[in-house]
Amino acid sequence: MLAEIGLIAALFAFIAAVYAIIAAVYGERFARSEAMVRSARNAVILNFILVTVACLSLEVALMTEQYQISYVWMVSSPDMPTIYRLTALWGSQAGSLLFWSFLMSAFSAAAVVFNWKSQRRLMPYAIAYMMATVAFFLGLTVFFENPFERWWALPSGDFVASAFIPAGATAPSISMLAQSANGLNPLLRHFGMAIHPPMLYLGFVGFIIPFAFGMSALASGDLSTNWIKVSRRWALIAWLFLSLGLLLGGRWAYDVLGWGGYWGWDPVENAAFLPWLIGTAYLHSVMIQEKRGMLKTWNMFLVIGTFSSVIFATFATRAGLVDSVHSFAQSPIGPPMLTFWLLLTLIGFVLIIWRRSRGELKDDNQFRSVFSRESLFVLNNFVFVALFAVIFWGSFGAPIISEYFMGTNITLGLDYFNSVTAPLFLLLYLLMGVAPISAWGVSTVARMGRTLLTPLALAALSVGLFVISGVTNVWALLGYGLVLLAGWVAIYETYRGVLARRKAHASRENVLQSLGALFTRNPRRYGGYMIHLGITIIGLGVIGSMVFQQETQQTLTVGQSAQIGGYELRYDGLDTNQIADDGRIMDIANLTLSRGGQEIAHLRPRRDFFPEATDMNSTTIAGSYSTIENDFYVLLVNWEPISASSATFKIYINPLVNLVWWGGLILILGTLLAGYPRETLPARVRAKLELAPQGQGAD
Amino acid sequence: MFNQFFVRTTAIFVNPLTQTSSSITQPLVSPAPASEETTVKQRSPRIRRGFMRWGRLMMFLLLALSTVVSAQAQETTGRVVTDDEVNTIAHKLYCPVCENITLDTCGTSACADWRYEIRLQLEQGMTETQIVEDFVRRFGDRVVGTPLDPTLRALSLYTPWLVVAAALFFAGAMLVRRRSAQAVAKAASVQGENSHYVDLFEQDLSN
Repeated sequence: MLAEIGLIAALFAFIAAVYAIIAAVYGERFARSEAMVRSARNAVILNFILVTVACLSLEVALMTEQYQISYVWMVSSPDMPTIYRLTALWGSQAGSLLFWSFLMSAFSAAAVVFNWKSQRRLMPYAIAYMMATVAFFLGLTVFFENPFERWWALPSGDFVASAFIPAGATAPSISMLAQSANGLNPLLRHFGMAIHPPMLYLGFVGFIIPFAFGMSALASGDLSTNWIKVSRRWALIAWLFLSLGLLLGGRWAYDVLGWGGYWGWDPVENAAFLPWLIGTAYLHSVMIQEKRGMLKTWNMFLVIGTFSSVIFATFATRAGLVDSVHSFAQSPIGPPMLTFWLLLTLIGFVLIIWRRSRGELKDDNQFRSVFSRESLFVLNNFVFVALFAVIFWGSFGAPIISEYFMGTNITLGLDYFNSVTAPLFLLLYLLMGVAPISAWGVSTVARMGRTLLTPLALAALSVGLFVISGVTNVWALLGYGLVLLAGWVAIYETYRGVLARRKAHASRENVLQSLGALFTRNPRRYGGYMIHLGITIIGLGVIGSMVFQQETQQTLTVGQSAQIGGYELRYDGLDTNQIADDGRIMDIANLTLSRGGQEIAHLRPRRDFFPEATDMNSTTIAGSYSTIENDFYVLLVNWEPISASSATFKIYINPLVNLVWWGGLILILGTLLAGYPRETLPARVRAKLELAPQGQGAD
Repeated sequence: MFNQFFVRTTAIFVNPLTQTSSSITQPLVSPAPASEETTVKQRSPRIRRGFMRWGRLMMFLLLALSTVVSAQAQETTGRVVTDDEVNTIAHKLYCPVCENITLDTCGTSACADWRYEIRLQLEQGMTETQIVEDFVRRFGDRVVGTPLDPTLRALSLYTPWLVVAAALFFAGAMLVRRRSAQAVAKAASVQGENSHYVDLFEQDLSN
């Protein structure tokens, strides 16, 4: 029953999306009918309701163990805990496509509801573009990767998965199916599964709103700042989720993949990072259009490029374009996805060129100074795009070209990515330090130099502290210096703001109140500084953990110790064949960690074996001891099979790695602050506007 | 030595792609010298039996000698190779069968065999470069983070920078063109202002 409900809901959601496209475009362009456009809006909401029903049907089927549904059979098993049963919705291709459609539909419905009044002119085309994308993904769900297919026993004795009953087929017994159910991929049985994919998907699909409004502006000819106003906040929301998704992905890899790191420049990781880079460039350059009416064409390229790279990332991950630990298997959705991606990008770029050729994307102002904020933002954009280009090339360009045109498979790995991205990231940090202190319009070196003096001195002082603490690597010190400059500028600018407020309101406000007032009055600016501070802290963590990571692999007999980085690790024995509630078989090492002769922790790294899993059936879970200074991270590599009298461990010391996660938290707080809606009009005026005729209301 | 021989033979069975097999099997196919056999046929049976006995002995000695020589050629340098040395090299190589995973972190048994092979190669005195080149020769450039083949290497490393440089040049040219257009517009506006005064002056003159 659930399969039928889900399938019918998904099919009708697809029809509703197609109807919304037709009604919106026909109502706006040809019939000039307000009723039709309203009908399109209602279809968007109906689409959301139907996709929710489809999604819930699959979720309920997973929770109630409906193994006759082939997707449920494939990603769950009777002994799986509830949390993984819940997350199995996005545990494989078909379910995750449905979940993706659900999130995209939710974003579309929210954009239509919240921006209907303020963006009425842009809305019809925005609906068309949003629903075209939703319809495409629902089409993939219904026609290519249907999660509601059921198992059928054919008269020949074979089993087949099909949405409809084949002739003469009968339903196999659920108990028989339950016995042979696959269960979720072991690598996905982690708490991160509950939060990392949804965050990443939200980040991906969230960019549909800025994209749809940008395309709508191009299609409708309303190229004022309207589309910028609406898309900036949605872009910030998507950017927040994408940042969160990337950070959580890093943390998950660190905990589960068992290689002592959090970013491996894997093609699928990179595919998710590409929209982040272009999206970040857009969030910066859009400010120039808002403040100075410049870079109109460029912003269009960026907003379309961001969503285009989202679709490309999805295509690369799901169509088997690249081999990766993250990617889904080869799938029939490859050709339609490639076609959709090419069409979407082509239509966007053709529209930009068309509008530009008509002179409708002409800038209102020109660059007047090399050191003005807009010039530095352009340079910042250039670095982001350069990063995009070199990462794209390393992940997809070079491997694909060498395979198709030279007949050779190549891998561009850590050597390539570290060498090409490091200078660009350092340049980015330098710009993060300099750009906030430059002025809009005209800025001089002397003026910037005066303001930069204090942060520069503080950065130099901090680098001095690193030298005193024993850091001698020149490149690392240079990196720390540039990263810290960006951080100190953010702190110094906030301090100057507080100082200015204290001068004006000294009698009424203390320092904290002044700081609070700054964040309330100008959340965008000070939220931005907080984001910069978060990125600075992440940068410190990345340099520390990359440049100064220590690593050793040693075989220890029971009672024997290994020494590394001032720590002593003693092997106390191995608990073999421990069976967990979910059927996992665990081999757990018992280790004692000491420092300076004192025991500080007992670590239990382990290997989990999943007997029922068909493909990848084991995971390596690290044992770790975290401090602000570093992470002591140990993996159980191997052991004597029967006696367990000796075992081999891989030990890492990852200096400052925890700063990556803490910096991420600050970045999230800063983004929430920067995107927080600020009332710019007094309540009296807003009340009046709400009474005004439709289409003229405030956002 | 026997242990090492056994281990190597086992390694060959585990991984048929290894290259060490030819040197191990070499003693078994060493041909006997043909001229000696021709000489034996012309002697009396007793002498012939004596020669045959000597011949067998010589053949045995030859075989034994070649086995010893071959084994010596295979012999390790005697130094103990640590896991860290193996991992340092394995970290620079990518698993030939898995997905973008370096050889030091890959958990498959195939990768464990390849790590073991690196250990043997290190024991034989091969350098890091030689080992990496050996893997590339057998599995192609996909096993290294940056291709060793000069053309592929140049294509991989220089193309993105060329693109970035081209983009910078393009952006610079656009900026210069825009600034010169601005300068022309400014000059035109100044000229326009002046022409207004010239008109007034000429009007005055004509009056």
